[in-house]
Amino acid sequence: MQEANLLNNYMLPSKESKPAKSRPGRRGFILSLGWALLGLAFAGMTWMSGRFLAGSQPRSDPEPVNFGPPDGHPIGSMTRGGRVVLLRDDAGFWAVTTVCPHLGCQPVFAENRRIFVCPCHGSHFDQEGRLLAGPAASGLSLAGLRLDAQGSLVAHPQEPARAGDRFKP
Amino acid sequence: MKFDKFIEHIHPTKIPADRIHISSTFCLGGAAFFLFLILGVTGLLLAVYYLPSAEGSRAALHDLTYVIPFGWLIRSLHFWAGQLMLVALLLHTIRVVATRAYLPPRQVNWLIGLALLLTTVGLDFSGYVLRWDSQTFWAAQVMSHLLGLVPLCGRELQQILLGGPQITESGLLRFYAFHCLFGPVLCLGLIMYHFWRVRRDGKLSQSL
Repeated sequence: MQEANLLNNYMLPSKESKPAKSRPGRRGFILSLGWALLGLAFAGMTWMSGRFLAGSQPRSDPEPVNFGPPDGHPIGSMTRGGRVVLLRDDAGFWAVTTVCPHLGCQPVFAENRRIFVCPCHGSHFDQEGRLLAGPAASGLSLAGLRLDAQGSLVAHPQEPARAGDRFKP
Repeated sequence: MKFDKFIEHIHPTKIPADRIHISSTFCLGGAAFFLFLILGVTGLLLAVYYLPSAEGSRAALHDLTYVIPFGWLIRSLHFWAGQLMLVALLLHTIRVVATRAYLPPRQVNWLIGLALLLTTVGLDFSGYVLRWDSQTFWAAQVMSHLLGLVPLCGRELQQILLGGPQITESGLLRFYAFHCLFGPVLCLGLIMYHFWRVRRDGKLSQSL
């Protein structure tokens, strides 16, 4: 009698106590749904991990922009073309590439304050592209300027210029 | 159900039938182990971008938070899993004390558990230092001073922790090595031994 009690106390739930297998009922359906959701979550995490490991999306390089003859841009002017903004002061021309180093949005030139403001996350840059406020970690790059065979001013974003440099045609 | 069999197999071979119920242990050790696995996976992903230097860590944290797709999510998961693992382990310790599970024959596993708790605290702290901003720099400074107060071997411990008398980038590299390599390997080894002893020592949560 004592042995039987001991055995009962120290037994894992026996197989007999489980209900006989029948077609899946409500409980079975909910269990399957749970596993399916778990699988879906796992697949989602795998996809996100893949995106994470692939890193940030490659930004397409901006194309060269033809701004026409230099005489068409008076001192103090600002001209937009593609993803480049051409500016001119007493010393000469410079061109700012408007690709935010944060997430690749296009900062716009606020003429009244003479600064670039990124509309996506609010990064500020001065008129020569230098970083004033984040979340961007660096400034805007400057596009190299050259005259083509027709004497037009062409900005080349792939050939960055140094900050402070001025182009005199 | 295969999952039920798995649960039965991580328990000791013989336990009272009612102890199989979750409320006898609340599966707090299991929850901590699950969080450890999450920390392992997210940590491996973060290691792809993190650089243990002053400039590298700043840039990596910025990129992870703002630039890399789902970087913010992976970093947050790693952070919160770390915090919750410590909470789960503390609750687990309280449960073990409350059910007097530290008494023989399970006293060795109690000590292994305490070692795991300490290792986890070390992992949490070293992970915090990896941010390498002014807050965590001073936290490392305080920790090194505390270690320096340990009788007899304080100075040596400080030297081992920082690799020099001052906190520099070589100290950051040591925190990094502990956080990514020594700590997790030690933790995993102790966890495996801990689980094996749970099964071998028997008596699951019995004195409550």
